[in-house]
Amino acid sequence: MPAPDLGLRKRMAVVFIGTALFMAVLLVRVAYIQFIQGEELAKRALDMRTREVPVEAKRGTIYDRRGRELAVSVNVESVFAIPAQIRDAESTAATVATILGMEKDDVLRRITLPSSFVWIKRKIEEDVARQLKAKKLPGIETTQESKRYYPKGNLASHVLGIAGIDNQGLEGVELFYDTPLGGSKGKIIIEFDARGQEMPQALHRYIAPVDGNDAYLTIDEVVQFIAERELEQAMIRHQAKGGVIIVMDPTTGEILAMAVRPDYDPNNYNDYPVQNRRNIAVVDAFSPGSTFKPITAAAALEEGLVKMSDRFFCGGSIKVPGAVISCWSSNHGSLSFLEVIRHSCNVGFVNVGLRVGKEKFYEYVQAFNLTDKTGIDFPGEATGIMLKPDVMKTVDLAVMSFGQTLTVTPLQLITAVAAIANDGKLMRPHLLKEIRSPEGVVVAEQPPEMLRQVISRETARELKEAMRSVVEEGTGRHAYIEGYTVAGKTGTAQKVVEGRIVRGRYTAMFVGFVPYDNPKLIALAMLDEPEGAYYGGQIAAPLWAAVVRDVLQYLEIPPAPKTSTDLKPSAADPADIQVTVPNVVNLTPAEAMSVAREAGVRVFVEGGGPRILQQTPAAGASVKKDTMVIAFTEGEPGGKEQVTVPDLIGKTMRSVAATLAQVGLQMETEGSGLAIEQDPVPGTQVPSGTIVRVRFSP
Amino acid sequence: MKNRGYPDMAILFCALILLGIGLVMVFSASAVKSMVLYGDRFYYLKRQLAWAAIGIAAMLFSMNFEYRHLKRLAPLILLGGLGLLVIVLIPGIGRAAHGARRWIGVGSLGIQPSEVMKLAFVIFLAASMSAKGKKMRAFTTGVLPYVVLCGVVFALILKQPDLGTAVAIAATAGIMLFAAGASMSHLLLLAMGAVPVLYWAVTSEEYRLRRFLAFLDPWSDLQDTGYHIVQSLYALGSGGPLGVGLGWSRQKFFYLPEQHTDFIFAILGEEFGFLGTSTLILLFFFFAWRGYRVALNAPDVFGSLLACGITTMITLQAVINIAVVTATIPITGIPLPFLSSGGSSLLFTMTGVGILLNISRYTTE
Repeated sequence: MPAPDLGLRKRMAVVFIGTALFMAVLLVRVAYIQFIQGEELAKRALDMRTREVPVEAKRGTIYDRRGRELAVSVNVESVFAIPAQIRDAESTAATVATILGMEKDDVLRRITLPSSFVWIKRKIEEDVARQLKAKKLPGIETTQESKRYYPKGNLASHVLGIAGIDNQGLEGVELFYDTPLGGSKGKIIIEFDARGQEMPQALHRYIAPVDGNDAYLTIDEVVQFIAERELEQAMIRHQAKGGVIIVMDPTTGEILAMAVRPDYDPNNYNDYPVQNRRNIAVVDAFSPGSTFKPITAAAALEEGLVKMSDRFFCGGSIKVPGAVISCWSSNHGSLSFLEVIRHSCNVGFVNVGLRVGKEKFYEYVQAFNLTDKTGIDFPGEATGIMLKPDVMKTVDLAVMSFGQTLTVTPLQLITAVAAIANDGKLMRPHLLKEIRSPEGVVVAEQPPEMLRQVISRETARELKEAMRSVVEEGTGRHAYIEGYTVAGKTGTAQKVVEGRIVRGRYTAMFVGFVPYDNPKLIALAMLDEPEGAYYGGQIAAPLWAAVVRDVLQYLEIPPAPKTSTDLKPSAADPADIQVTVPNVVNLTPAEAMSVAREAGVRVFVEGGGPRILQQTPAAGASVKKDTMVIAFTEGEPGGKEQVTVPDLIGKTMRSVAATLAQVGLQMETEGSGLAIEQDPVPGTQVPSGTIVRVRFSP
Repeated sequence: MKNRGYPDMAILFCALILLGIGLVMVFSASAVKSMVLYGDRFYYLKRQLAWAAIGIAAMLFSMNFEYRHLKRLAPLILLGGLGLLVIVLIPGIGRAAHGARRWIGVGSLGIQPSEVMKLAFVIFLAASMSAKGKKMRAFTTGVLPYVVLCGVVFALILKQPDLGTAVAIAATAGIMLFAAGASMSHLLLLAMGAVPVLYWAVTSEEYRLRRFLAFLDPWSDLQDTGYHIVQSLYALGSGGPLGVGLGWSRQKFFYLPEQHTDFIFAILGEEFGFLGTSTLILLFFFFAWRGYRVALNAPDVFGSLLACGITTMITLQAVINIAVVTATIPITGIPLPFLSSGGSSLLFTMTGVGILLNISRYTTE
C-alpha cells in the first residue's frame, strides 16, 4: 500500500490551516462577546432574570399648626400575584376570590396574565390579609402598603384634598406638597429562574423607600372646627348653595381656617359628587359687591382725591354716560365720605370711583393683587374677571366702584382687605407653616412674605376707622362682638352668570377684622345663593360674628378695654338669665365650645392639650348666662383625669388608634397586623394622655 | 508492515482532558434541570459517566484494533449505517424527541443512527477513495459516486430531520474529497451545486428559514426564533473575562435551553469566561494539529485519509457548534464533541479517537 504522496499531504496541510483559521475567527468572536459586549449583555441578562416588587414609601402626616393630625398614613396589606408561580390557577382563583370578595373570573384573568407581577387587590384590611396568607398559595403574595386616612373626616377636606391609591397627591395640599409628603418608592429586586421560581442563592436586593416628610399647616384644627360648625348651621338655616369661611392672620398671611360647603369626606370621596370637592374659596370667583368698596376708597384716599369729611349727595340714583345707576337706598341724602362707607352708599362710591379714573383704579386693583393669583400654596388657584382700563367704559368704572361686574375669589378678597387691616402691607396667603422630616427636623419653613406696601399706613388707619363704624353704626351691626372693636364691610352681590346679572340670586358676604386698630384676625364669611334673607349684613355678618367670637376666645385674644365709644349690646341683658353649666370634661376644646354655646355659657380653654381634663365652675352649677367657664386641658400635678385602659387585643391598628383616641390615650406601636400585647393591661386606671404600648403581629 | 508503536499520547491526553471538562460541565449545566425533572441532581451526570466509560472502552478497543481491517469492513459498516438511518425513520422503531425522529433503542439506551453514520461514512470514504488513487481526478469516477452517496445520506438524515448533522457529514465528505485529491474545478462545481441544495434545505421548512435568519439580529424576535441565541449570548457575556465561577451559572436556570447539550459551550463561557472558552478552542486546535499530523505521517493513503476524516469530523463539529453558540453562523443543532451530554455522540467520537490513535501507532516518522 503506498504512503500518501506529496499532493495529498499538501492538501491536508491546507485543511489544517483552514481549520486553524476558522478557530482563530471563533477566538476573536468569543473575545468580542466576552470582553467588549460582556458588560452590556450581563446587564441585559440580569434585567431579564430579575423582577422588582415595589415597596411604597410611607406618606408624611399632615398636621395642623399645633401638631394635631389631619391626614395620616396607616399600614395596610396589598395582594399581588406572580403568575409564573401559580400552580393551579382555577382553584387559586376560587380561593382568592372568596377571601377577598371578588369575582372569580376577575381573579383568574389577573393571575394568568403574561406578566411577572400583577396586583389583585390593593389596601385590604389586615385580618383579610391574614386569612389569605394562612392559605400559603404559591404565587399569591402580600406586601405592606400605606393607606391615607383622614381622622377628622370632613374637617378641612377642601384644604387637605385627597391622595390616590398609589399614595400620590391628587388634590389640595396633598397635591401641592406631594413631593415632600410622598417620599420615594423603594423596591425589592429578586432574581427568578425562567419558570418564575426564585433561584437558589438568588440576587435579593432591598432598596429601602424614603419615607415622606410631615407637613405642618397654618390651619388650626379648632378654628377650622368652629368655622365648619358655624358654616354648617348657616347653610342649613339659609339653604344656601355654597358657603365659605376663611380665617386668616392679617399680619402673616397664615390661613387659620378655610371652611367650604358643599363638602365631602376625603376617606370616601367617591361617595360624593365631584363638585363637592371644589375649594370654591380658591378656585371660584364671585362678584364681591360692596365688600369691594374699601378698595375703591383706598385708591381715592391714597391718591388724595377724597377726604373722609368730603360730602356727597345721594338722591337714590346717579346718571353716568350710558346708564342710570341706583343706590340700594333712596334716603341717603347728604353724606360725608365716612358715612358713604358706613352706609355703603353706591352713589357716593360712583362719584369717588369716577374721581379716581380708570387708570388709577386699575392700578390699585392690581396693587391689591385682585387681577392676579394670590400665590397661595394650593393647586388650581383662579383669578376673577377684571376689565382692563383700555376696554373700561365710564359706566363700567362707575359700577366697578361698588364691586359689580368684576369678580374675585374669596381668597383674593380677604387677602386684599387683610392688606388694609395690616397697615397697607399685602401679605401672601399661605397654608403651610413648615415641613419636617420623619425624625422631626424642620427641613423647610414658610415665613410670612410681604408682597408690597399697597397703601400708606395713614390711609389704612383711616379706612380701618371707617370700617369699624360700619360695624358699630352702619350695615355691619350684626358682626358686633361684645368687648371687641370689630371693623368690616358687608356685601350683597347680584349673581352674574355668563356676563349677565341673574335676578333673585345673590351672594351675601362679610369681611372683617378684629381688633380694628391692631388686627389679630381677619375673616371672611360668604353664603352663595341663600334662600330668603340675602343681605350680607343680615346673614353673613352674624355668621362671621359667631365664628370670630369663639375663635377670639380660643386664641385667648383679650377684649379691648372699654372706651367711651358707643357699645351696643347685641342681645337682651344676659344678666337676667340663669343657665346650668354643662360638662365639658373629656371633650376637645372645639366640642366644649359647641356644648357651652348650646348651654348658654362661654368656655375659656387653658393650655394646648387635645382634651379638657378639668373645668370650673363644675358641671351642674347654676350661673348667669354667658358666664365664662374655664376649662383646663392640662390638669394640676396629680389632678389628671383618670381613664380606664380599654382592651385592644385582636384589633387592627386602625381600630386601636380610634379606640385610644376616644378615651384620650396615646399609642405607641410595634410590628404590624393585629394587636397581641398591650401595656398597661386592660382595666388599668391611668391619667389621660398616658402612652399605651401595643405590639402587633400578623 | 512494520510493527506498531506507541499511540500519540498527546491526542490521548487531549481527548481525556476534553472528556473530563465535558463531565464537569455536564454536571454543572444539568444539575438544576436534573433536580427539577428527575429529583436527582446527578441524573444526567450519571448517564454521561456511563457513556464516558463505554466510550473509553470503545476507544481502547479501536486503539488496539488494526485500522487496516476497517478497509475490508468499510462497505459493511456503510450498509449498517445506512440501514440504521432507514430504520430510524420507521415510526414505532425510531423514537421522537422535540419533533424529530432521531433515536432507536430500548429504555434509556438510545442510539442516534446519524452519529453512527458520521463515523461509518468517514471510514467508507477513506477506504473507497484510497483505493481509487489517480481515478480521484476524474469526475465520473472520482467525484460523482460520492456526490450521489452523500446525497442519499444527506437526504436520509434530513428526513429525521437533522439538518445540522446532515450538513456536518456533507462538509466532512467534501473536505475528504479535497484531501483525497479530487480536481479543484470539480470541487468548485460541487460547491456551486451545493448552494441551491442548501438553499432548498433551509427554505423548505418555514421554521428553518426563520431560525436561519435569526442569528443576524436575534433581538428582533426575542421571544421566538431569537430566544436561543440571545440566551446564549447572555450567558457568554455574563461570563466576561474570567467567568462567574464553576456552578454559578444563572442562565442554566431554564433560561438557556439545551444548556447541557448543544449549548454547553455557553455555560462554560458563563462559568469560566474567556479563560475557559479560549482554553477549549485551543484544546480543539491542539487536537486538530495532532490529528492532521497523524494523517500526514500515516503509513498508507487509507490511514491518512481515515485520520484526516476523523480529525475533520470532530473539529468541524466543534467549530460549527461554537460558531452557532456565538451567533457567528445560523443556528443548527450540533453537539460539541467530548462535552455535550449525549451518549451516541460521545461513544462514536471516542471510537473515532481510538481509530486515530491506532493509526498513530503506525506513523512513519
